[in-house]
Amino acid sequence: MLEIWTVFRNYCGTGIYPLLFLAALVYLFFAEKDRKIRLVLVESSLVTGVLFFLPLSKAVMNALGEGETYYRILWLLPMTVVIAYAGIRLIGRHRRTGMVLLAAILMVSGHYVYKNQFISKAQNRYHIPDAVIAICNEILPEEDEERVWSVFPEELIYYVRQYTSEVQMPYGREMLEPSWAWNWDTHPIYEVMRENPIDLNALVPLLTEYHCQYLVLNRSVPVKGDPAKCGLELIAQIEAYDLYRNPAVELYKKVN
Amino acid sequence: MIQKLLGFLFLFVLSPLCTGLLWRGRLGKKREWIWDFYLPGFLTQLAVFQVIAVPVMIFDAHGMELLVILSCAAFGILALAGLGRACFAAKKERESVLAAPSSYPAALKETGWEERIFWLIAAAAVLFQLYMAYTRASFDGDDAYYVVQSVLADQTGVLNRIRPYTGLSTDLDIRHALAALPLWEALVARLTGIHAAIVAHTLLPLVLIPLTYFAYGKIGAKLFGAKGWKLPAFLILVSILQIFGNTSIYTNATFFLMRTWQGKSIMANLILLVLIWLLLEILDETAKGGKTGLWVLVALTNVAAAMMTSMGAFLAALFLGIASLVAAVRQKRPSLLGKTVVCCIPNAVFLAMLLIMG
Repeated sequence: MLEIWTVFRNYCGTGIYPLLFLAALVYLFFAEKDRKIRLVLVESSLVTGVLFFLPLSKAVMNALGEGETYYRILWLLPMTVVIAYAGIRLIGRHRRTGMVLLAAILMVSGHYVYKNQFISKAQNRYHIPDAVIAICNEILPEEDEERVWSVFPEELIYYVRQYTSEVQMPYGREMLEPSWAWNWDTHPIYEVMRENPIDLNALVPLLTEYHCQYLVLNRSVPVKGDPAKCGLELIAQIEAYDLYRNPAVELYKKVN
Repeated sequence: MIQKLLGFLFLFVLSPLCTGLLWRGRLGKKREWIWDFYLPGFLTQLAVFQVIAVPVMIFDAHGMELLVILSCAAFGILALAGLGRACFAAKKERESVLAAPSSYPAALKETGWEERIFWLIAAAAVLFQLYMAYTRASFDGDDAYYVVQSVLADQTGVLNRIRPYTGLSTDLDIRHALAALPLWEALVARLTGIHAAIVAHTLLPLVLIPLTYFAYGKIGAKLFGAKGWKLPAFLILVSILQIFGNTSIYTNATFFLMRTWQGKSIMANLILLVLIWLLLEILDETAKGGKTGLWVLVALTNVAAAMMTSMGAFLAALFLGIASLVAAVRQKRPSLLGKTVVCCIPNAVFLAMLLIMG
């Protein structure tokens, strides 16, 4: 039960919309006369709410392997529709004052989505950082060449293959999610790349072992060792990144 | 540019609208406007795509070409069937059930100034969300899986047999693959010639956000009626609840505006809203005429739900199950449960596939 309550609290987060929803439900439970609206918006929501808090429901979702996404049962509650509908009903004939008041309450009690830390000004229509596109364009294979392998800093890993399937990586997002215990933190190259400073003497032999032709380093992350002495060739500097070629691994030609 | 335009027109304008004509007169409205056909047509397309994509994906690892051919053929046939039905019905009927464009100005004249201002604010709020969706990038780690699956299908022609994170080959991960939305996004990319990442991040929000508000509009019209100030006022409040609904990473609103192009978001918003609207129509005892069309659309929406996320079929069935059980008990209409069970057969099939093959 505590686990379910935690899921509910996490879903609610910082806002009071679930409380407004509950208030709207109570209001409509007593005030709504239209049968179809009562059934779909009010009584079904109450049943869904009760079902959500039943430990048996959580056990079933766990058995289905969806325990982590249990919060999605709450998606079935039509919070937006119910709050807006009850609001309009409540203000009755005081439409102008009522609407201003309602809008103000909703704005103050919620959280503006475009202030979210994960939303930023788009640099292009791909909505991928320009640096990723420029780096990928630099290392894309020629028509007669096989796909290339490259190692990227953490912050770029999510984006590379959203741009092109021609650039492959020895590890990807699965290394960056600590909750994914099944394969997190296990790739030898990532074990070196996540350190500060990055030990190039340890990294370059691994790049060769894993057939990586390219390495991208963030200039703000210090490195131990001289890239040139380790056998790397600097081929481009793009925004905050240095792009190196590892000549120990050739660019493979396609076999027809 | 011409390919982009033609591809967009086919996939997002002509095909859904013409397919939607198949639903003409079957969704409980006495008089229908041209835009009433878009949502049913769009959902029909998605459901048909899911039915084509799943077997193609399972039996042909390099099946993108085949998927494109079969999907285009199916969309074309559906659109032609819709057009044919509309032409045939127009000849047969004395009074048109389709509101003619010439009647639009008259409808506008009936609206008062206050109502018009509410409509303008509601439209401005939606336009603002569209502008932000176009000009703001939202980071989500899941894109490294789903968007890449679309990119892979489009660029390599391989369906779900390449690890999105690295590029290595892999077996079919049926748990994720049964939700074929990334393949549909790859289809959009193929037909329009637009990069799959642009399709997901820039193009789809411009389609899905208005469509979701259209679904809210359908619900609002059932709650308040299509005329008067209440419907636009309802849409304004809905917009505010969406824009300020980022109270946690789990809410429907957060998914709607931060992960618009992902199946989970479409499930949590468009699909569930359509089911609410359809239930309101089905349970409306004052509405005359048969409800068969509405039930068929419920079944197709269920197929579309399975396309969105691996748990989509389960969530849609759970939602319908609860609502129909409550309605059957309260209205003493056990037949509602039987109809719901029939509509949920697709859900059962997809869930069985998930449990057996997953």
